[in-house]
Amino acid sequence: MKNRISISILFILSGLLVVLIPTVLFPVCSAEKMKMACFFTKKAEIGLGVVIAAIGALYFFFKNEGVRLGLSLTQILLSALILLYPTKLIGICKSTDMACRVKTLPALIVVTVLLGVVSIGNSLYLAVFKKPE
Amino acid sequence: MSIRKGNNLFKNIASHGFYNACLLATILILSAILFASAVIRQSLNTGMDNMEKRLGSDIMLVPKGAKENAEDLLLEGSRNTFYFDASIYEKVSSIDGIAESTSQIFLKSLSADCCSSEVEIVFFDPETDFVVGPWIEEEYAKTLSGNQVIVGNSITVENGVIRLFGQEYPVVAKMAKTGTALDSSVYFSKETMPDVIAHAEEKGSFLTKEQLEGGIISSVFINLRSEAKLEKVLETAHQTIGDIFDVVYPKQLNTSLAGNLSRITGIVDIITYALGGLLVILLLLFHSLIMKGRKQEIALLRILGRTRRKLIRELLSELGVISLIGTIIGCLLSMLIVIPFGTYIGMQFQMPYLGPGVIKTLLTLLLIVFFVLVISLITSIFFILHVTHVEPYLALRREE
Repeated sequence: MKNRISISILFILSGLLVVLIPTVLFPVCSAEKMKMACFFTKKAEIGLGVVIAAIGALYFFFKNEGVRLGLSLTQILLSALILLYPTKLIGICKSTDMACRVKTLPALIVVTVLLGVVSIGNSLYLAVFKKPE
Repeated sequence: MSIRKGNNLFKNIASHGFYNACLLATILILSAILFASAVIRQSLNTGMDNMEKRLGSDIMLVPKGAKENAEDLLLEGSRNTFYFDASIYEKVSSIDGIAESTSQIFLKSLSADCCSSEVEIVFFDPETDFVVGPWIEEEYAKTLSGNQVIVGNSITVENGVIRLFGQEYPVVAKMAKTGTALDSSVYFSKETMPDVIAHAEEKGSFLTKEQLEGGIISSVFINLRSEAKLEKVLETAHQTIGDIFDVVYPKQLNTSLAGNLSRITGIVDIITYALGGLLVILLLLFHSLIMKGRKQEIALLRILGRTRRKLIRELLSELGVISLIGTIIGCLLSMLIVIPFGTYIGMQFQMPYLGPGVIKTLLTLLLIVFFVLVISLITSIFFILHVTHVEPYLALRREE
């Protein structure tokens, strides 16, 4: 129960952060004059954040360790995707002093690492200590 | 350490979970603060060193009214477009008392190209240059030919070329990282200026009348002869070209910047010492509480035959493990913030900022691990010695 509640909260928080970072906390560059790569990265991150938070909510409802392990492993892959959107798949502005590069990307790096570490740690915990059938 | 001993060690740590968690949290915060402070200090100092190298001329002549923009350019690297007639350079460079002089033209790339490459374009004269040269010569010693360019360290180069205004320019050298806006500049030879302007115009970029007409320069950098008097040179310059220029003194800017740096590092130091001191007091408090709580247990272990030396070793091992875990997690968390957010931190301080490399970062981490282990040892040793030296009978009786 403790694992379900704590990990579920962490996943939901991470998902919310992925949504809030490019939109509210460290917003990407303004798209008033022209839509740059970071604008599309923001859109993709919003979708990704919602999925991460939804998986976090699902994690709470599943008692079966095998299912939870699967959800946890999915989060590892999604955490990688958080960073792949701005760095490889879509990109952000190339100028070194643009808001998306100076603030949004570093903040996404932080969330990626934290979500990755939590997911990997939790997967190992479930696989080794809980041993799902 | 055998697996069994290791297990016992972790069991002992877990059996005093609450206090050890508090201890771990304190050490974690202390390490995070120390690491962040060390990295920020190093980055500011490296940025400042680079800035000193960059402000490499005695005086800089800029068009009248552009002094503030030129100072911003030197301190923050923001490229502003200000121009005067190119013939001024010839007139100024022949003034007696000038050892060397060079001119530069600044052209900020426009938003139409921002996504492919948002860069600051500088046209310089490789033959007379002594301002940009030192950065370039680190990797490249030849002159530029044709439409070749030299790029700052942050510029993305794909297949050895950079695309600007729809054209591809071969990159012959990449400058060393400076931590300043030089990193996002592209350096063209002056001869290529008409071509670049033409391509910019073709692409529909907004260009001023002066830029289109050509025959302009943005600034003249001057180094004086050692025996020359600045006032005399400036007076001659005024007589030669008239009162159409302002003078910027890069070295004075450097002094004021150094003052800012010492103020910022002073504030960083005060915050570090204040928080560090508070956390050390907390460590003392936790060690005292932990040892007080374990007095009875230690007395029992001594009655059961455990020697004092062995007990001290066990207690120090527990402390060492907690300190090590706390310090490493603290430093990693701190690293996760100060390294990715480096550029933002530098922008907030309005100072040149160049983060440390991997080796320097790892060395800082090791140094902090060692330092925190020593602090943990110093703050705990008295309580450990005290609790292991109390007579078991007295320790047990007091607990009754």
